Amino acid sequence: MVKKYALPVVLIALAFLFPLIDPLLEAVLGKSLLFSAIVIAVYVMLALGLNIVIGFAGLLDLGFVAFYALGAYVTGWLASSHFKQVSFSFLSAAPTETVSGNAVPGIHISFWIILVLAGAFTALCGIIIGAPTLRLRGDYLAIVTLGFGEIIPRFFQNGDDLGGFNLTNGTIGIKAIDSPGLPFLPDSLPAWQQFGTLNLNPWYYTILILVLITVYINIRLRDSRLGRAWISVREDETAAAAMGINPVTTKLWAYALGATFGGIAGAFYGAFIASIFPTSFSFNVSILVLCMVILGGMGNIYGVILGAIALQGLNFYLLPQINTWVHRIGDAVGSPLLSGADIPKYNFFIFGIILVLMMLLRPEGIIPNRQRQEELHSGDDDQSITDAARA
Amino acid sequence: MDSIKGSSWQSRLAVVLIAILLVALLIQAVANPGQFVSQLLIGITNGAIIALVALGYTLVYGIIELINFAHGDNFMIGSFVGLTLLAGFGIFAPISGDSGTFIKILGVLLALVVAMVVCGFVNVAIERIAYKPLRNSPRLAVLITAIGMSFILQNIGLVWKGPAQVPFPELISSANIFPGDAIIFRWKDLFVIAATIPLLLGLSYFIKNTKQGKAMRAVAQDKEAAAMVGINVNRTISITFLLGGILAGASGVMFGLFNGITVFNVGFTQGLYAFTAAVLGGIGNLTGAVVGGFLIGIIGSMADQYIGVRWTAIVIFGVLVLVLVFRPRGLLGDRSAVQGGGE
Amino acid sequence: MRRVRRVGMLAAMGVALALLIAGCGGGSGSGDSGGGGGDSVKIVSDLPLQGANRAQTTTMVNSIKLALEERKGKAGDVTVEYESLDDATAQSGQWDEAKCAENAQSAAQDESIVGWIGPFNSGCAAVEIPILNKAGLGMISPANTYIGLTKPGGESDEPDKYYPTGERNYTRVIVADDKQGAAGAALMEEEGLQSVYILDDKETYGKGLADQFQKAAESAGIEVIGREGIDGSASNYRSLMNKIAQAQPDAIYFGGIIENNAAQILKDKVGAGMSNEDVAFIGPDGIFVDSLIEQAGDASEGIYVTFGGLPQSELSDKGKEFVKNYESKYDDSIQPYTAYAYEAANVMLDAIERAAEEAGGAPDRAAVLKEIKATKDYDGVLGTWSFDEDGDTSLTELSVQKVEGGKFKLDRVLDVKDLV
Repeated sequence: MVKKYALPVVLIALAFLFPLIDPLLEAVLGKSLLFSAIVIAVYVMLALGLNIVIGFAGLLDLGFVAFYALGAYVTGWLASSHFKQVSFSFLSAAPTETVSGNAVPGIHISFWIILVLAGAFTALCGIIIGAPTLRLRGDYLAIVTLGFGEIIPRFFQNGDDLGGFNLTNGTIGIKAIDSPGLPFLPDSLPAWQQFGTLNLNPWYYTILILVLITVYINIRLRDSRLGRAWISVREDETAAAAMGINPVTTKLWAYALGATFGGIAGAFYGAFIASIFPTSFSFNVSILVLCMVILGGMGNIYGVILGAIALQGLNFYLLPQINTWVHRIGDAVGSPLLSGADIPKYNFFIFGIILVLMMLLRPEGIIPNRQRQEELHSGDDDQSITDAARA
Repeated sequence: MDSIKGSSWQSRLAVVLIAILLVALLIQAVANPGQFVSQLLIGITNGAIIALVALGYTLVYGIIELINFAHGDNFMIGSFVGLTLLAGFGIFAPISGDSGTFIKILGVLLALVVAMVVCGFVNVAIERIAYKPLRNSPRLAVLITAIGMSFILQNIGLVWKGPAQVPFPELISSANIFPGDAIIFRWKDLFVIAATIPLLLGLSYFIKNTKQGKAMRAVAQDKEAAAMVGINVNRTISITFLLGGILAGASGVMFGLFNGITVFNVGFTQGLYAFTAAVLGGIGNLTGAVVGGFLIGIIGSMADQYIGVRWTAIVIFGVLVLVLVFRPRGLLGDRSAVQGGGE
Repeated sequence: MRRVRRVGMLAAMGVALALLIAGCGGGSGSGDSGGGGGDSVKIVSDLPLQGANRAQTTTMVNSIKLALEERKGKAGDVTVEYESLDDATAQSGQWDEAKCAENAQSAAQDESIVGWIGPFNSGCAAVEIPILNKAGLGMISPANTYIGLTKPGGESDEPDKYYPTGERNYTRVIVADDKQGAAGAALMEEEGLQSVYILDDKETYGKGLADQFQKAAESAGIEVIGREGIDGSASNYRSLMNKIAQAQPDAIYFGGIIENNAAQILKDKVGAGMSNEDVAFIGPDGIFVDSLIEQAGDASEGIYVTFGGLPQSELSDKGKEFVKNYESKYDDSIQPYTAYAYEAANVMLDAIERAAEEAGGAPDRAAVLKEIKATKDYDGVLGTWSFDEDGDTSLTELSVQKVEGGKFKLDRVLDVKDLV
């Protein structure tokens, strides 16, 4: 038993100590990793949410970005001066009065309540989107989700004039979103009373705890009755239905729960960046998160986390650094070709090659889901081209 | 199928919705027939190019059930190959709008053929490198390599022609065929239609009547059984990819000649719409892809005219969602043409 | 527990990789060790160096380097280090709000950085300004034109919501949308054009500009027949142009950038029977690029482009010298924003020089910010101008270019002083 918990405990401890390690890393790397770590953690949460839909329930979702966007806009609506028609504050860490003493316009609700609201709202959206479409099988479902994933950001982009009502502020986006905080804390902890941009630790610990909650719920779900129902529906829907499992409800649960985590991640992200733009929620994000789940190993929680860290780390941290390194190597060996090399031009290429290679080398993901692996390789023969893992 | 039987209210609702839409369009058509016909023609020509790209998605999906994300970017490569040939790269002078008619026709044909060959082989190569080794892996693994290949092709395009839009020579006249301004149908539009029809007929003949086409249908239906009766499955899949690539190459050059501009990420949007078209018609179904392509073209131009440009994309994807809700296998049902019947 | 062991192995591999990376990156430092004690400061630029804007932004980085090299890497007696930050990610191919925030956040904490040139996109500026505002770091943007960043005119609580400390730290050397929008309307009045159809590319720049133009046109009594937001990645705009042709406007205004398919719009406009003589086309500096003419061909003949400043051919002697120096040093051709980046760099370096003289050594952020805002009667490549109290340039003369014979030619100079 000790062995079983040793690794997770060590990893969690490392994650909690990371802000202390970061200055050391900064000394070596010349760049603090804390900000990257927060962004990566947001993607870990997204990937874990999508993992419920794809990994557990086997539903290919190409429009997961929709929930991420919805969650972010919930924060935008409920924690900024966007709705100027009203003035409503509730437990918000942001000041309730302007400098001139008037009540601040807009809705300002405590970030912690928004997290819950965003989760509930996106779950509801997941059900609304899912209910009429979950009868579809396999790839058709994927396409409908892709359709929604395209519609929702465009709707946000055009939503500044819906019959005269400004719902989303269109392209310009919602800006100056309140930062969260824990106002009841003693004055000796100002960074925690209201999270700021100069001290990232409160942000880091918030997202870390959100990720840990997500992981815990993921593990519990996987081992629950619902989790087993997902697997049975994934493997054979007809047989599952014959055993008394309602496939539609089962799938709806997967959709709603996946959407919840996507929404909470979006809500956190909106508050962290303090600005929301409809253009941030493009098809690319859906694809990136999908790659994380599949690359890491569908259905395997550790794998998905690793996939998210690897890909977002590559995208957000490593690729921008490669240029610097190549130039430095070029300077060191005196090669003008290397020191003048224009790496960002080839970033897409590098990203693509890595995706292809990783998949060719480990087709079941970095850390495959053992159950799936066994299902795949039982009775395997080389002639068979059947898609055993058919969703 | 049970879902359709058990929900006749849905079909009724669908019929009512479509009827309302058609009546609304009819009123517009009567009010301003010239405008309506012009928009319809624009929709058809735009749809023809989408249909050609959609065929590539549907062919590949029909045979290995893979959403070939790299297909749209192969289409972009096709337009770049055509552009490079037409703009001249040392061997002959660039062909421009001032060249003689004969030279122009020759140039267009050459560009089409070369782009078709190049894209055909690119598609086969992609299959060999990135898809074939993964045939026994989870299906989604191939999806990721497809996405990876799409990034790689896009980057090749980016390095090749740079990040900005690049112009195509104006080889085909933009003049109106019909006299007056009432209905606009240009020589360019005629070219697109005239090039699409033989390609569609040829493809249809190939799949229906040749031995190789029969093999494709057999492999699409049941790979193991096909292998058992002596069909070379690997070769058949390669040929399917070759066909898809040929169509992508042809449509890439046509796109460039028709619109006059191409760009390294043109494959992304065009690919997305083409893929939507394939699904709309019933993925795997060749007729469905063509119908879906024309439908998306027409819906696009009608939405531009009567609803507003900023809502067009939402309308198209909304139609997709609605169609799939009411007809879960697309308008014409999936895979009937390739496989000779439903699943 | 085989799985756990495997996870452990992978974790170990991860650590090994991290160490490797650390090894490679070793000694990068923040670059402020050289330059002899305290007499060294650092400036950074923040631009999207990946994706469609790359051609533009690499020339901007080059021009900043050029400005620094011309001063032999020094502002007065202080050595100035320069680092170019990238606010785009490979995967999105354009600016990324998280990358913007990260760059701003890490610069805010690096006390050796005293100046910030950028960003390129107004949306990115909205993310960065509040962060850098708290850090008191002076910013000079060479490219943001969204009006709400510096003055009222956008949303009702702009610009104050970007400046949580209440102290302004942001300036820009480019004219804001209100002036350029007014120039477009003034041009229409001079030409006697009475109705306009407005298009925008649904981006912050294009839409903000089209909004300002619409405001100016309406107050000038020009009829706005319609307004549409286009999709920059659409294959063509034939049905839209067909629709516009029916409405018979005197002019079409396009608020947007060339990357969002401006050339295709022109081709389809002319193709729909609206020649540039019958229906004027007016665009902003976002399409003032030679490649527009190359891309659109004959369809670009006769279009108008407004520009916040004077074109290269009309530049002051300083401007001409800049063009010459740039072209002798770099291979790529000058883009519309190149000169702005050069100007921003020079204003920044001058401010550092003045602040250094006063401090008698390396100046701090507050001193540099004060000197940036105090920039007055600056004689640069864009003309002679000052920063006003909002941090905007005092230039009110905009030029109008018309494409004639396949080239942008200066058509007229408009002074919009009385219009905004």
